[in-house]
Amino acid sequence: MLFLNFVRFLLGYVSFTARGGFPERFINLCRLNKIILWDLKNSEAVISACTDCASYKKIRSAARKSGMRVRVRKKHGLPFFLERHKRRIGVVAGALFCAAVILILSTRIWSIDVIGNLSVPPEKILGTFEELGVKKGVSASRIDIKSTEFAALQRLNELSWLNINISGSKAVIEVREAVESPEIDGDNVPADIVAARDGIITIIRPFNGTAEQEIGNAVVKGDLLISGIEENGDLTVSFCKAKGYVVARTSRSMKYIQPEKFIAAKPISSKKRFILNFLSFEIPLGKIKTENSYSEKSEIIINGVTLPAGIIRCVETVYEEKEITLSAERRKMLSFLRFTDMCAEEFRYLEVENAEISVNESGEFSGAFTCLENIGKEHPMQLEEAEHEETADP
Amino acid sequence: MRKRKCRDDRGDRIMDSISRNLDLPTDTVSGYAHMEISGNREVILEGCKGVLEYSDCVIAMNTGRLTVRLCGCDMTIISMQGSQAIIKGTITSIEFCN
Repeated sequence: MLFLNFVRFLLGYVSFTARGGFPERFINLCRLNKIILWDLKNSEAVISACTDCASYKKIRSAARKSGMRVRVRKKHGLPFFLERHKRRIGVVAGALFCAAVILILSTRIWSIDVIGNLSVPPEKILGTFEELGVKKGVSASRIDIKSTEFAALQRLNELSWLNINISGSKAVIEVREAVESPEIDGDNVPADIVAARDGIITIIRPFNGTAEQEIGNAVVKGDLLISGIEENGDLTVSFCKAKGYVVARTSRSMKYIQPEKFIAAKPISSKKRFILNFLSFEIPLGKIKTENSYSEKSEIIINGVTLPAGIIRCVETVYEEKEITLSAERRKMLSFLRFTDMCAEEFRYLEVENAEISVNESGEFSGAFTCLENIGKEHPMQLEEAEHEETADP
Repeated sequence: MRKRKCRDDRGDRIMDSISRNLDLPTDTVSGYAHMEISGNREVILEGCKGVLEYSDCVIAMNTGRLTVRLCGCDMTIISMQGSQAIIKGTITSIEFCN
């Protein structure tokens, strides 16, 4: 029925009323003249029905013979619609323009998504592809997918594989990240392990090379701890890269005081500005300053598809440099906070055995710490190759 | 007149007997109208030869050998094309007259 109605709409049809005379005779005459009638209703001696355009022209004779007066109620369908609006050139032009715009824009890429990346930022991948010509607004048919993929893979060393899938106006860049090969330690360069700080040795574990110190020895910065010279069984020596760890008890001290006066930038005003983003155009709504502003881009996503329309929100913040004077209480509190931050940073990889922290009247925090830490530091050997002089007999 | 009626009755009986023995549909052999009724809302009538009465409450159709009279309310001829008619409405009774 829906399809039939659609066909009737395309061909056009007329709804009419017929009154007076003999309705039955009128219907029979229509049937004999092969006039198709539908939606035939009879209410209070008035027949209302529908017929197609060609049949309506023939209906007059049937009406005359049956003594009925026929009157058109309404004309339906596309032919009548076009006839009604044929003088409205603007509508036709607008419809054609709209169709042309859709046709042209549907051949271009308006949405580019990156999937499969974990550590490589999508901005980097999109930037590389933009340099290679894959960006919003380019014609999809002009992109040479194979060569673009190859060139992008050459530029992005972090990726092991990538693929561009273009579907309509959407391009999806699928990537696989490369697994970094482990760095191979060059064992062929002879080196010693020397002390990086002063301390008393508590543990010494040489994995490669010869231990030159014993537990309990006091060492100063630069003392040899593990030597890269190994003595062989035949009393000859060979050079190697010393490996191992040397834990020593060391002393550290730290102090911090917050200055009473300092200059800080204070935000005094913040303004929001918006930029409309449509296709590859950006339409600013107001005066936009790029200094001291940050922007957030919001895009319209429907069913996982990013549409080429959105809004960029820029927040401009004006800062004023101001000298700040702290009260004694605040100064002490800030000193403490900064001192604890410094301690957390300094002793992240150390074990603190003992700590003595004190604060004086001016708010200065100072601490003396006894730590256990690996003080071994690699130091390359200075070697000179002996020259073999060959003397020719006269 | 009586002779003619007797002849018609005999012809009907013969056609009925043929259709029954050959398992053929009665409407194709004996020239009766074919009628499909969907509840009390729609009737599709094939073999319609004309409209005898048409109003909001009654539609009477000539099917040749019988006159089918449909009574009800809001009776509408949805389509009338060739010998087929589709009638819709709230049908309360159907009468068959010779």
